[in-house]
Amino acid sequence: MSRQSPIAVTGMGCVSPLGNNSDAAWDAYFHGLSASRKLEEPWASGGDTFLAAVVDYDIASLLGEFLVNRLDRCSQFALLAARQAWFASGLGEQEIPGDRLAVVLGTGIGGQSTLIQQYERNAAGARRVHPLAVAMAMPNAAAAQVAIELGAHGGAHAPVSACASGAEAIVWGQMLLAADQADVVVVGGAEAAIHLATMRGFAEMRALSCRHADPAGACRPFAEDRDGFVLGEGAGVLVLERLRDAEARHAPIEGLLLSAGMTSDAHHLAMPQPDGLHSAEAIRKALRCADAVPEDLAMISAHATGTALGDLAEARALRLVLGAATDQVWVTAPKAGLGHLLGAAGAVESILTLKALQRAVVPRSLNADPPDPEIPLRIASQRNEPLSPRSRHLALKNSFGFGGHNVSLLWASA
Amino acid sequence: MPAAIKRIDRDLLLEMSDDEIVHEVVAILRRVVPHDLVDVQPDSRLIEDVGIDSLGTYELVMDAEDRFGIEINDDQLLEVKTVRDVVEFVKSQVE
Repeated sequence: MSRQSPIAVTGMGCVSPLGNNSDAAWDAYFHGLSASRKLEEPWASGGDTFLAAVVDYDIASLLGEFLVNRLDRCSQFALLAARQAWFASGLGEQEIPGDRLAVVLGTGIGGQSTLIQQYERNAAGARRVHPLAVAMAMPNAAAAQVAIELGAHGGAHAPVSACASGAEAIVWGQMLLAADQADVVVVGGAEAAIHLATMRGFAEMRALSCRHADPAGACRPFAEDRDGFVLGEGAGVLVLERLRDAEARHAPIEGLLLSAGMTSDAHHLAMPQPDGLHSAEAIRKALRCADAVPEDLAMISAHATGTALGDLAEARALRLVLGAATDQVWVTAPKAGLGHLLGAAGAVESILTLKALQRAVVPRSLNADPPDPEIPLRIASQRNEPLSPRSRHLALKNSFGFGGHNVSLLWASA
Repeated sequence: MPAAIKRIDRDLLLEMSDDEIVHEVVAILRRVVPHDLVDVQPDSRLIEDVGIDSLGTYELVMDAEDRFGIEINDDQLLEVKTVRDVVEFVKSQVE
């Protein structure tokens, strides 16, 4: 019996550079597409070249004028993804008391673009800034707005742990259910940080790929010649319920969250601990809490952003925990084509992982050639790899964030 | 995030009819209230009829300043209760 009761995912929604719902994003991921492109926007044409994976979605017509003007793009993504997930769960047609419904939506950066926009208008001579500028910028805005829309009174929370935020939100959801704080928790992450200030900041820390001439080949997780990530944006939202509750109401079950592990490097504000010691412990905790062993894993959806240090530390962490079993389990790095969605990454990539488990296939890890001899992982670099038949497939999803936040999730097919 | 509002040229504004200015004010109100606006008349009260909330009032002020190129201070705001009041205030500031 595992130490953490299984949690059912009964609805999923996403807005992403690869597609604006779970199925569309999965199809693009499955077919090895890349959303990475050169930015042609006026602000990005001042001499620097930037690559990004941008969401293409008619947000204005979906949300209407009021919400378009009252929410940062980050919250807009979250709201649209939450609507999809909520609809898919079928809970909208049932009587869920608001005080048993909670929301946990993480973000790395939140609504900073709105705050900068309002500062700029002020600096350009406007007398006023928007009276809700601060409320739009705050990192809990997405969680609050989704709670407003769903009438969730069981708590609205916003974990902020950089690129681990979305995965951490999923863990909080599990903890709220375990602590009987709610019966349904809408969890996920959202990010909309494709902005000159953010891009410059990432560029100065040499985190972004400089392969400007080859957008689709720029982000190269686990390749020997990797040189950074491509910034993305979007949101992923999942509806979590106790498995027994989901079964009792005959809900659609997309997959199971078996367990999770969280640790912190306490090492550096931006760099991962090189030996992967504490990210390894997050993976170990996740396995231990589900009474799982490395041999149980069918696939690993790596954090792997395509930076030299990060990918190496993750590979070391995996090797440290999985040992010889590392050679048997397929690893794939979704950010190669999806882009790095920062605080939304853990949520959107978890959705893609659940889809992979449902289809029993590990999507190809793009651009992982030439392999890095210092990274001895079984990377699905050549093709989509079918999973060997089992009654239940397990997948590890890693999410690590600047500041040394390590989150590992253990997912299972339903 | 809030979309920028384009300023109406002052000469153009001076030639606009009351109805045309009402139309402009309603366009701003549409950004400020969460519900669909139906049957907004010059006599519609901003709070009771249109349903604008207190922060929405300041949103209206900001957008009206941007659109009409005027300045509205907090004490003047107390006098503005209906759509017509907004229109009259705009006209008084422009003239």
